[in-house]
Amino acid sequence: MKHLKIILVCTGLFLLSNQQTLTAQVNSETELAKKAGQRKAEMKAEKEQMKAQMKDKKEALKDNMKDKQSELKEMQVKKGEINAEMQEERAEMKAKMQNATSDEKVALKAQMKEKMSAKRMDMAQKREELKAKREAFKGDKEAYKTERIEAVKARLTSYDSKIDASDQLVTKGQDKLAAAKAQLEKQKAEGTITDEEISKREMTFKRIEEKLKKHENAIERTKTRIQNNKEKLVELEKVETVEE
Amino acid sequence: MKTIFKIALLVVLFSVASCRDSKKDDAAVKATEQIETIEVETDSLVKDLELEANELEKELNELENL
Repeated sequence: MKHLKIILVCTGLFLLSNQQTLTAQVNSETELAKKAGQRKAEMKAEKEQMKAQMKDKKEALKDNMKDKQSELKEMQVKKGEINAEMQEERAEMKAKMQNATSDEKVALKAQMKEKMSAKRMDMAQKREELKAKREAFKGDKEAYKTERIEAVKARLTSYDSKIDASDQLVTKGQDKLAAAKAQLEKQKAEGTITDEEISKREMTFKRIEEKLKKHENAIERTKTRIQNNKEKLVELEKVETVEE
Repeated sequence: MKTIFKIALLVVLFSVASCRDSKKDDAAVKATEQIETIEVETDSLVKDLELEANELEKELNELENL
């Protein structure tokens, strides 16, 4: 009987400890599963965040690329325009150089260099003046931009009269040239002009013809550039409206 | 706790608003720079045209005196 009691107590203790181990095991397993679930959710959230960040970065890069591409396109168009302008200048310079002595060539080169550097200096000075004016403005930047757009638009429109004057000058020049040529022909027919004078006048006619053509091209170029700039201003105005 | 949350919300709102403003300002400055470039370029172009016109006018006056 005594032994049976001991056996019963031992069995009871054994069963109790076994039950406790089982409960602890189940508890720890649930905890582990819970922790794993939490970690998984955290990982997922992190992944989503990373994905969103990457998407944002990609979009920003795309926008940047688009901006750069449009800037590049603009630069290329401008380069083309400048090249066209320079080509004419170069051809003129070449023609001048062909008939010039070495001293005259040096003088021509120096003159050209001086002209170009004066032009560059003038542009740089104007840019600086405008920059200083912009930086000195303390009010709303958007309002300043609108003010500048209006001012430049008015300025571009005021240039129309100058272009018209140039157009009229070309027409007047062509008429004068035609009249001078007719007079020369008349004098030739009458025999009241020397050969030397004839060649001198013909040279003048040729020079004026070239200048008229050059000026006509310059007028066309200026008109196109002003038109392009007007369109660009409208685009810049549109950007403001869209942002608002 | 509520007060802290309110303050934090206000700070976030202010920072978002200021970021938005500075972005808008940057865009306006960039556009103004482009406008300035247009102004300088066109001025130079028209100045060249005027100089050329003056030169041509002189030549045409010479033509009249032939």
